Amino acid sequence: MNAVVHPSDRSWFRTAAGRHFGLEIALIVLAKAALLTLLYFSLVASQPRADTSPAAMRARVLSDIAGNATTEPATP
Amino acid sequence: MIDGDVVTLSRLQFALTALYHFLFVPLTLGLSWLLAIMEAVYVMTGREVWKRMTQFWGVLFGINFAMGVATGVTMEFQFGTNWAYYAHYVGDVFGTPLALEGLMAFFLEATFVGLFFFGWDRLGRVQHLVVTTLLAVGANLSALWILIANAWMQNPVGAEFNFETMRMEVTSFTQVMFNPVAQSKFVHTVSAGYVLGSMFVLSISAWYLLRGRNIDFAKRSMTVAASFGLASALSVVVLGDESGYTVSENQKMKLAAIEAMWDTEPAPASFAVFGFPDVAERTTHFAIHIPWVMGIIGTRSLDGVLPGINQLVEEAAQRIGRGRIAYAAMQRLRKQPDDAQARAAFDANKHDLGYALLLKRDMADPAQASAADVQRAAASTIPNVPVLFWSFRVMVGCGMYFIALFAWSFWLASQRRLDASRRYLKIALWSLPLPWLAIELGWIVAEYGRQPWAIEGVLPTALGVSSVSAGQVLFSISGFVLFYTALAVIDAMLMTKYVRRGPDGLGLWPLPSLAPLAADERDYAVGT
Repeated sequence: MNAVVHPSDRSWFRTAAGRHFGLEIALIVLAKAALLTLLYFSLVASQPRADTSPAAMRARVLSDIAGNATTEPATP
Repeated sequence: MIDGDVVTLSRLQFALTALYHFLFVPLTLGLSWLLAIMEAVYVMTGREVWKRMTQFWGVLFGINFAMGVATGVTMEFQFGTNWAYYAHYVGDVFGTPLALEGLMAFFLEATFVGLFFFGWDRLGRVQHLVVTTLLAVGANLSALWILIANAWMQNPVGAEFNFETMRMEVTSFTQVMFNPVAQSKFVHTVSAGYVLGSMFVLSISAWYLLRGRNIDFAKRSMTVAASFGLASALSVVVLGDESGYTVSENQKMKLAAIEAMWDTEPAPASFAVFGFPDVAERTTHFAIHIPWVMGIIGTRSLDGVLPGINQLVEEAAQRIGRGRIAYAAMQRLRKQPDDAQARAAFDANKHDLGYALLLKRDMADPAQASAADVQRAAASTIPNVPVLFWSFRVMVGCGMYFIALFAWSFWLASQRRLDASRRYLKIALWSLPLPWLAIELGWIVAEYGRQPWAIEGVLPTALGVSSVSAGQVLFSISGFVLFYTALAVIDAMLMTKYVRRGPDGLGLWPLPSLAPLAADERDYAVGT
């Protein structure tokens, strides 16, 4: 194969335009990471943590924990 | 009693973030393979234009990847804040697929993204092609794991409820991994992503041709997009049919709602092409039916029966009855673990326990439910029929349109007449939003159609929410909406900027350094 060897094998990503693109992408990723961190601390971490202990799960699913114990279903 | 506002707002928040996240994912899936195809042509032919095509579409891929990456993280935030009980209930099953998805997305895929951009000068041609291919494989594998987790919500196999720990526990990870719903969902979803990637390349290239810019570049791009797009569009339909078949086996109510099939029809059931479903009257006005089609698609037979919504509601009422027996037995077992009678009752009815939990939305103790309560809970198993009916039809209509458009494009490409018709180019350009629309509607059919279940037949959505206030959820929704709106604006601006500049404006193509070459050498580099 007599393929043309390009005079400049330098990647486009190493040109001025390519470097500018890389910088923009890096800034976006950094800004997003910062925003997500901010979002986490302002909206997520500030909320009271849900109690998912086994006891809390039992209380959610089972009725006898809430003091409404029954053993057999009423006839539908 | 569960706060209905919290359930609604939590669902809205999750839906908004998932729909937004899913704008980026399918484009990554599709574009990554298109990059691999273009680079493979470059490696095989040595023609510079194909390398530059890979780099240009790689720039747009990079923007999409940078904007989309981590937008799914907020969904995991929500597992902790809004869906704590759900997270506890399914954690044993979800942990492994979600961890593997994280590994694939943040390590495998992200590593190869870095190598793709910065490896052009440092790697050989074949080595770089391997990197690009592994980038595509990594992106698709990360989708596989998230879809395995999602498919388990549609068809919870390989796990059982443990009443001592009050959660689902894995009994066979192989079954979870090779869930038939996961398989059909994965191939259907990724091929929809390939259609989107192809349409993205086709539409933007059509815009260049309309403007008379980057002609060689755009025509080659369109040829690749037309071929890959046609194969993908055909796959989407065939694999979507398989996906529908698994729904008919595991989620009969979802299928009946998609078809607005209120009553069981004699086999083979007809397919409703058009109609206006009336939920109050449980009928479909002005319905136009094609005989046999639904029965054949849904059961792969002429005598398979697809149950209607009314019959499935009756069945749900019976399952609620059995679920209440399991529920009562479970309460007895928790007090007396050696109660053999309770154990036998629980084992005989445990598969319907989830149906009894449907009653928990309105009352603390399902055992106290009246006949009216049971009927109401059974009726609540009907998802939103008009939304499903129309979402599905618009999605399928888009799928058929994609086949036609890509077939037309393929034919024009084979005749080397891609730039011959401005009408065609305009149609190709304005078709750009349609794959996104179809994909989002597909998501709505899959997830909205699963309601009222978070885990089909096992855990009602309402029972999965955390004990938070509606105000708290509203507060976090506002923050997420602001965050995602800002991202969407930046994404649109960046994409538009780089598309407008194009390969010529970015100095990617034509290469100024090709000018001094002899005409035949220049032609070879371009490939004409």
